[in-house]
Amino acid sequence: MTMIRADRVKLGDRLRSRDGTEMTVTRIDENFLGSGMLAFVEDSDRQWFKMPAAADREVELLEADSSES
Amino acid sequence: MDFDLARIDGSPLPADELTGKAVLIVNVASRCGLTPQYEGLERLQQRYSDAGFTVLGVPCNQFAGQEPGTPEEIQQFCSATYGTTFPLTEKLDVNGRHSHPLYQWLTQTPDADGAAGEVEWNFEKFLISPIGEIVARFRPTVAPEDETVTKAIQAVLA
Repeated sequence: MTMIRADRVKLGDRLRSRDGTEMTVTRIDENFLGSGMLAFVEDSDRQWFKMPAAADREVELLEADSSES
Repeated sequence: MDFDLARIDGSPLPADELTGKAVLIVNVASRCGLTPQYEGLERLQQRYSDAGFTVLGVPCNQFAGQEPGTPEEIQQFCSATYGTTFPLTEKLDVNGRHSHPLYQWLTQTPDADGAAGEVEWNFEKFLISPIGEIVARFRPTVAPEDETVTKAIQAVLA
């Protein structure tokens, strides 16, 4: 299992939520509910799913986006 | 407000059951930290139902997967843990390309800050007037018994 700090997540990365849902990040919102947390969103034909995370917490990374490499 | 809706048990929820009522539509999730809001929602139901008001809970699993249960589990959680008596719909998508037409309509409405669009999180609230107009939108952190909510309910029931 690969973990990554939430503030290192990039668009296109694939994550697994704590409930087991797999998502591809298509948008990153800041200041979720005014809490200062980040919120990762997949808004695609496959699903709309939102997962918040504190910036300094780790999230499970399934696959890093490789489009910039 | 004429949308195809089903109750949590899968049976149809006829539009005429809501027609003529003020309805507070709330997307809910059993594993969310905001579930204590169920208590306030039920108190609103008790306080205003005789005047032609109802809460309508809409289970949704799009927010961190916090509503993963079966219909039976969701119903049991609400009634046993919080003693809710207001109706629940079947589980719906409230955001995205597959969102239910009810929410495609609701999310065009701005909140108090003028922001329309996506539902932000569990327990976002939309108040519908007895003539079927969306009159207010309250974001998730606005408590059900916040004065802005109760005043809006009282205004549409007046």
